[in-house]
Amino acid sequence: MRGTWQRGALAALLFVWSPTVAAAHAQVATVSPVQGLSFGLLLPGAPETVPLDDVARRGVVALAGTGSLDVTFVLPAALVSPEGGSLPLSFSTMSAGLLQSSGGPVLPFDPQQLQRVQLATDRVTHLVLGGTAQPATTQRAGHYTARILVIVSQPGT
Amino acid sequence: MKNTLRVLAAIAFVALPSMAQAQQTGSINASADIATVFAFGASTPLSFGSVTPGTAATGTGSIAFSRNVGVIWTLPDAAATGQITGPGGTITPTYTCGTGSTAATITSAFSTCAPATATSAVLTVSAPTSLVNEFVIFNGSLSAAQTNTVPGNYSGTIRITATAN
Repeated sequence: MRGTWQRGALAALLFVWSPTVAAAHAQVATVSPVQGLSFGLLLPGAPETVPLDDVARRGVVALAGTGSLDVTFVLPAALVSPEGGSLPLSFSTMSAGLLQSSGGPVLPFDPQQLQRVQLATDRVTHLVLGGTAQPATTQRAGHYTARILVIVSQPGT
Repeated sequence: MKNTLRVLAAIAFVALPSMAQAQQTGSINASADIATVFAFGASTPLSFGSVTPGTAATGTGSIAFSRNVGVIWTLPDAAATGQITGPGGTITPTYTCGTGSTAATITSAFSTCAPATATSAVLTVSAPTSLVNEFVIFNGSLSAAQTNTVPGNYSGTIRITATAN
Protein backbone atom coordinates (compact mmCIF):
# COMPACT_ATOMS: atom_id res chain seq x y z
CA MET A 1 0.00 0.00 0.00
CA ARG A 2 2.84 2.33 1.01
CA GLY A 3 4.76 1.46 -2.17
CA THR A 4 1.69 2.20 -4.26
CA TRP A 5 1.38 5.66 -2.70
CA GLN A 6 5.04 6.37 -3.42
CA ARG A 7 4.75 5.29 -7.03
CA GLY A 8 1.66 7.48 -7.37
CA ALA A 9 3.44 10.50 -5.95
CA LEU A 10 6.40 9.95 -8.23
CA ALA A 11 4.15 9.63 -11.27
CA ALA A 12 2.37 12.84 -10.30
CA LEU A 13 5.64 14.70 -9.94
CA LEU A 14 6.86 13.42 -13.29
CA PHE A 15 3.60 14.61 -14.79
CA VAL A 16 4.20 18.04 -13.34
CA TRP A 17 7.84 18.23 -14.38
CA SER A 18 7.62 16.73 -17.83
CA PRO A 19 5.51 19.41 -19.54
CA THR A 20 7.68 22.15 -18.01
CA VAL A 21 10.86 20.64 -19.31
CA ALA A 22 9.30 19.95 -22.67
CA ALA A 23 8.08 23.51 -22.87
CA ALA A 24 11.51 24.81 -22.00
CA HIS A 25 13.01 22.93 -24.92
CA ALA A 26 10.24 23.92 -27.33
CA GLN A 27 10.41 27.62 -26.56
CA VAL A 28 14.16 28.10 -26.84
CA ALA A 29 14.80 30.81 -29.39
CA THR A 30 17.83 31.51 -31.49
CA VAL A 31 19.33 34.97 -31.13
CA SER A 32 21.30 36.04 -34.18
CA PRO A 33 23.06 39.38 -34.62
CA VAL A 34 22.26 40.83 -38.03
CA GLN A 35 23.63 44.35 -38.05
CA GLY A 36 25.45 46.64 -35.63
CA LEU A 37 24.23 50.08 -34.59
CA SER A 38 26.38 52.47 -36.60
CA PHE A 39 26.32 56.22 -36.07
CA GLY A 40 28.81 56.82 -38.88
CA LEU A 41 31.08 59.84 -39.19
CA LEU A 42 30.30 62.52 -36.60
CA LEU A 43 31.60 66.00 -35.93
CA PRO A 44 32.54 67.12 -32.42
CA GLY A 45 29.60 68.88 -30.79
CA ALA A 46 27.04 67.59 -33.27
CA PRO A 47 24.67 64.97 -31.75
CA GLU A 48 23.44 62.30 -34.13
CA THR A 49 20.34 60.14 -33.78
CA VAL A 50 19.80 56.86 -35.59
CA PRO A 51 16.02 56.46 -35.93
CA LEU A 52 14.33 53.07 -36.05
CA ASP A 53 13.52 53.44 -39.75
CA ASP A 54 17.15 53.97 -40.73
CA VAL A 55 17.71 50.56 -42.26
CA ALA A 56 21.38 51.19 -42.98
CA ARG A 57 22.46 52.28 -39.52
CA ARG A 58 20.07 50.79 -36.94
CA GLY A 59 21.09 47.72 -34.98
CA VAL A 60 19.27 44.51 -35.81
CA VAL A 61 18.99 41.18 -33.98
CA ALA A 62 16.94 38.27 -35.32
CA LEU A 63 14.90 36.05 -33.04
CA ALA A 64 13.58 32.70 -34.23
CA GLY A 65 11.56 30.14 -32.33
CA THR A 66 8.15 29.81 -30.78
CA GLY A 67 6.33 30.97 -27.72
CA SER A 68 6.67 33.97 -25.45
CA LEU A 69 10.06 35.41 -24.62
CA ASP A 70 11.25 38.28 -22.47
CA VAL A 71 13.82 40.49 -24.15
CA THR A 72 16.20 42.72 -22.24
CA PHE A 73 18.80 45.04 -23.73
CA VAL A 74 21.98 45.79 -21.82
CA LEU A 75 22.81 49.23 -23.15
CA PRO A 76 26.18 50.95 -22.86
CA ALA A 77 26.28 54.49 -21.49
CA ALA A 78 29.00 55.43 -23.95
CA LEU A 79 31.13 54.31 -26.84
CA VAL A 80 34.83 54.17 -26.08
CA SER A 81 37.96 54.60 -28.17
CA PRO A 82 41.20 52.62 -27.94
CA GLU A 83 42.81 55.78 -26.53
CA GLY A 84 40.32 55.80 -23.66
CA GLY A 85 37.99 58.48 -25.00
CA SER A 86 34.29 58.27 -24.21
CA LEU A 87 31.37 59.23 -26.46
CA PRO A 88 28.07 59.36 -24.52
CA LEU A 89 25.02 57.51 -25.82
CA SER A 90 21.37 57.95 -24.94
CA PHE A 91 18.28 55.89 -25.69
CA SER A 92 14.71 57.11 -25.60
CA THR A 93 11.57 55.17 -24.75
CA MET A 94 11.09 54.69 -28.51
CA SER A 95 14.64 53.65 -29.40
CA ALA A 96 13.89 49.95 -29.82
CA GLY A 97 11.35 48.23 -32.01
CA LEU A 98 9.91 44.93 -33.14
CA LEU A 99 9.75 44.08 -36.79
CA GLN A 100 8.18 40.92 -38.18
CA SER A 101 9.49 39.28 -41.32
CA SER A 102 5.86 38.74 -42.29
CA GLY A 103 5.52 42.50 -42.75
CA GLY A 104 3.99 45.44 -40.94
CA PRO A 105 5.41 48.53 -39.29
CA VAL A 106 8.09 48.71 -36.62
CA LEU A 107 6.45 48.55 -33.20
CA PRO A 108 8.56 50.74 -30.92
CA PHE A 109 9.31 50.00 -27.29
CA ASP A 110 11.58 51.21 -24.52
CA PRO A 111 14.92 49.36 -24.74
CA GLN A 112 15.51 50.05 -21.06
CA GLN A 113 12.46 48.02 -20.07
CA LEU A 114 11.86 44.29 -20.34
CA GLN A 115 9.82 43.53 -23.45
CA ARG A 116 7.70 40.42 -23.95
CA VAL A 117 7.82 39.05 -27.48
CA GLN A 118 5.61 36.40 -29.05
CA LEU A 119 7.50 34.27 -31.55
CA ALA A 120 6.00 32.07 -34.24
CA THR A 121 7.47 29.43 -36.50
CA ASP A 122 6.15 31.05 -39.66
CA ARG A 123 8.19 34.22 -39.31
CA VAL A 124 11.38 35.72 -37.91
CA THR A 125 11.09 38.54 -35.42
CA HIS A 126 13.67 41.29 -35.62
CA LEU A 127 14.64 43.52 -32.75
CA VAL A 128 15.81 46.88 -34.07
CA LEU A 129 17.64 49.51 -32.06
CA GLY A 130 18.37 53.18 -32.63
CA GLY A 131 19.83 55.76 -30.30
CA THR A 132 21.63 59.04 -30.01
CA ALA A 133 25.37 59.69 -29.88
CA GLN A 134 26.35 62.93 -28.20
CA PRO A 135 29.93 63.91 -29.03
CA ALA A 136 31.25 66.80 -26.99
CA THR A 137 32.56 69.91 -28.71
CA THR A 138 35.98 68.80 -27.50
CA GLN A 139 35.57 65.19 -28.71
CA ARG A 140 38.80 63.65 -29.90
CA ALA A 141 38.95 62.18 -33.40
CA GLY A 142 38.89 58.41 -33.70
CA HIS A 143 36.88 55.21 -33.80
CA TYR A 144 34.53 54.56 -30.88
CA THR A 145 32.81 51.25 -30.16
CA ALA A 146 30.74 49.41 -27.56
CA ARG A 147 28.85 46.12 -27.28
CA ILE A 148 25.11 45.90 -26.85
CA LEU A 149 23.81 42.73 -25.21
CA VAL A 150 20.42 41.22 -25.89
CA ILE A 151 19.25 38.78 -23.24
CA VAL A 152 16.36 36.53 -24.16
CA SER A 153 14.64 34.42 -21.53
CA GLN A 154 11.44 32.59 -21.00
CA PRO A 155 8.89 34.48 -18.93
CA GLY A 156 9.36 33.57 -15.29
CA THR A 157 12.90 32.24 -15.62
CA MET B 1 10.58 6.42 0.58
CA LYS B 2 14.36 6.98 0.50
CA ASN B 3 14.52 5.54 -3.00
CA THR B 4 11.72 7.82 -4.09
CA LEU B 5 13.56 10.92 -2.82
CA ARG B 6 16.69 9.83 -4.65
CA VAL B 7 14.73 9.50 -7.86
CA LEU B 8 13.15 12.93 -7.36
CA ALA B 9 16.56 14.46 -6.68
CA ALA B 10 17.84 12.92 -9.88
CA ILE B 11 14.91 14.30 -11.81
CA ALA B 12 15.45 17.78 -10.37
CA PHE B 13 19.14 17.55 -11.21
CA VAL B 14 18.29 16.73 -14.82
CA ALA B 15 15.47 19.21 -15.10
CA LEU B 16 17.15 22.31 -13.66
CA PRO B 17 19.88 22.57 -16.31
CA SER B 18 17.20 22.27 -18.95
CA MET B 19 15.39 25.24 -17.48
CA ALA B 20 18.61 27.25 -17.25
CA GLN B 21 19.17 26.82 -20.98
CA ALA B 22 16.00 28.85 -21.62
CA GLN B 23 18.01 32.07 -21.41
CA GLN B 24 20.19 33.16 -24.30
CA THR B 25 22.36 36.16 -24.93
CA GLY B 26 23.30 37.75 -28.22
CA SER B 27 25.16 40.93 -28.97
CA ILE B 28 25.71 43.54 -31.61
CA ASN B 29 28.32 46.26 -31.90
CA ALA B 30 27.67 49.96 -31.71
CA SER B 31 30.15 52.29 -33.35
CA ALA B 32 30.85 55.87 -34.37
CA ASP B 33 33.75 57.71 -35.92
CA ILE B 34 34.59 61.21 -34.83
CA ALA B 35 35.83 63.20 -37.80
CA THR B 36 39.19 64.87 -37.83
CA VAL B 37 39.01 68.62 -37.24
CA PHE B 38 41.95 70.42 -38.80
CA ALA B 39 41.23 73.91 -40.00
CA PHE B 40 42.52 77.45 -40.04
CA GLY B 41 40.13 80.18 -38.96
CA ALA B 42 40.14 83.96 -39.05
CA SER B 43 43.42 85.84 -39.21
CA THR B 44 44.53 89.14 -37.77
CA PRO B 45 47.09 90.90 -40.00
CA LEU B 46 50.44 91.85 -38.58
CA SER B 47 50.80 95.60 -39.03
CA PHE B 48 53.73 97.77 -38.02
CA GLY B 49 51.53 100.76 -38.65
CA SER B 50 52.77 104.08 -39.91
CA VAL B 51 56.41 104.17 -38.96
CA THR B 52 58.57 107.24 -38.57
CA PRO B 53 61.84 106.63 -40.38
CA GLY B 54 64.64 105.94 -37.99
CA THR B 55 62.41 104.66 -35.18
CA ALA B 56 61.73 101.08 -34.08
CA ALA B 57 58.33 99.50 -34.63
CA THR B 58 56.52 96.35 -33.60
CA GLY B 59 53.43 94.45 -34.66
CA THR B 60 51.53 91.26 -33.86
CA GLY B 61 49.54 89.03 -36.16
CA SER B 62 47.79 85.71 -35.67
CA ILE B 63 45.60 83.10 -37.29
CA ALA B 64 43.18 80.81 -35.50
CA PHE B 65 43.47 77.05 -35.84
CA SER B 66 41.26 74.19 -34.63
CA ARG B 67 42.32 70.58 -34.45
CA ASN B 68 41.64 67.32 -32.64
CA VAL B 69 44.68 65.56 -34.01
CA GLY B 70 48.41 66.21 -33.81
CA VAL B 71 50.09 68.75 -36.05
CA ILE B 72 53.45 69.47 -37.66
CA TRP B 73 54.07 73.15 -38.32
CA THR B 74 56.33 74.22 -41.18
CA LEU B 75 57.07 77.57 -42.83
CA PRO B 76 57.14 77.04 -46.61
CA ASP B 77 58.96 80.30 -47.31
CA ALA B 78 61.79 79.11 -45.11
CA ALA B 79 64.38 81.83 -44.48
CA ALA B 80 62.28 84.36 -46.40
CA THR B 81 59.32 83.99 -44.03
CA GLY B 82 57.80 87.35 -43.12
CA GLN B 83 59.95 89.51 -45.33
CA ILE B 84 58.29 92.72 -46.47
CA THR B 85 59.03 94.43 -49.76
CA GLY B 86 58.51 98.03 -50.80
CA PRO B 87 60.07 100.96 -52.67
CA GLY B 88 63.33 100.65 -50.76
CA GLY B 89 63.71 96.93 -51.33
CA THR B 90 63.19 93.99 -49.00
CA ILE B 91 63.22 94.26 -45.23
CA THR B 92 63.52 91.24 -42.96
CA PRO B 93 61.89 92.00 -39.60
CA THR B 94 62.86 90.09 -36.49
CA TYR B 95 60.17 87.71 -35.33
CA THR B 96 59.17 85.56 -32.41
CA CYS B 97 56.58 82.97 -33.34
CA GLY B 98 54.64 80.00 -32.07
CA THR B 99 51.21 78.96 -30.89
CA GLY B 100 49.06 79.98 -27.97
CA SER B 101 45.63 79.44 -26.56
CA THR B 102 44.92 83.12 -27.11
CA ALA B 103 46.09 85.44 -29.86
CA ALA B 104 48.06 87.49 -27.35
CA THR B 105 50.63 85.09 -25.90
CA ILE B 106 52.90 82.44 -27.36
CA THR B 107 52.93 79.36 -25.15
CA SER B 108 54.66 76.91 -27.53
CA ALA B 109 57.38 78.63 -29.50
CA PHE B 110 58.49 77.58 -32.95
CA SER B 111 62.11 76.48 -33.03
CA THR B 112 62.78 79.22 -35.58
CA CYS B 113 60.73 81.76 -37.52
CA ALA B 114 63.04 81.53 -40.52
CA PRO B 115 63.96 77.86 -41.02
CA ALA B 116 66.68 76.74 -43.35
CA THR B 117 64.28 74.75 -45.53
CA ALA B 118 60.60 74.79 -46.35
CA THR B 119 60.15 71.29 -45.00
CA SER B 120 61.83 71.80 -41.66
CA ALA B 121 59.35 71.24 -38.84
CA VAL B 122 59.39 74.23 -36.53
CA LEU B 123 57.01 72.61 -34.04
CA THR B 124 55.56 69.12 -33.77
CA VAL B 125 52.63 68.48 -31.46
CA SER B 126 51.03 65.13 -30.69
CA ALA B 127 47.28 64.47 -30.67
CA PRO B 128 45.39 66.31 -27.94
CA THR B 129 42.88 64.60 -25.68
CA SER B 130 40.15 66.82 -27.08
CA LEU B 131 39.47 69.52 -29.63
CA VAL B 132 41.98 72.37 -29.41
CA ASN B 133 41.31 75.93 -30.53
CA GLU B 134 44.60 77.77 -30.75
CA PHE B 135 46.37 80.57 -32.55
CA VAL B 136 49.57 80.77 -34.54
CA ILE B 137 51.18 84.04 -33.53
CA PHE B 138 53.92 86.12 -35.11
CA ASN B 139 55.36 89.06 -33.17
CA GLY B 140 57.49 91.23 -35.45
CA SER B 141 59.88 94.07 -34.76
CA LEU B 142 61.71 96.52 -36.96
CA SER B 143 64.85 98.24 -35.78
CA ALA B 144 65.43 101.95 -36.21
CA ALA B 145 68.04 101.17 -38.82
CA GLN B 146 65.58 99.09 -40.83
CA THR B 147 62.95 101.81 -40.91
CA ASN B 148 65.46 104.40 -42.03
CA THR B 149 64.67 103.72 -45.64
CA VAL B 150 62.74 104.93 -48.66
CA PRO B 151 59.13 105.86 -47.73
CA GLY B 152 56.23 103.84 -49.04
CA ASN B 153 54.20 100.75 -48.41
CA TYR B 154 56.07 97.60 -47.51
CA SER B 155 54.15 94.34 -47.40
CA GLY B 156 54.52 90.61 -47.50
CA THR B 157 52.78 87.37 -46.57
CA ILE B 158 53.58 85.01 -43.76
CA ARG B 159 52.71 81.51 -44.90
CA ILE B 160 52.25 78.69 -42.45
CA THR B 161 51.66 75.04 -43.23
CA ALA B 162 49.92 72.63 -40.88
CA THR B 163 50.26 68.91 -41.52
CA ALA B 164 48.23 66.45 -39.51
CA ASN B 165 50.43 64.37 -37.27
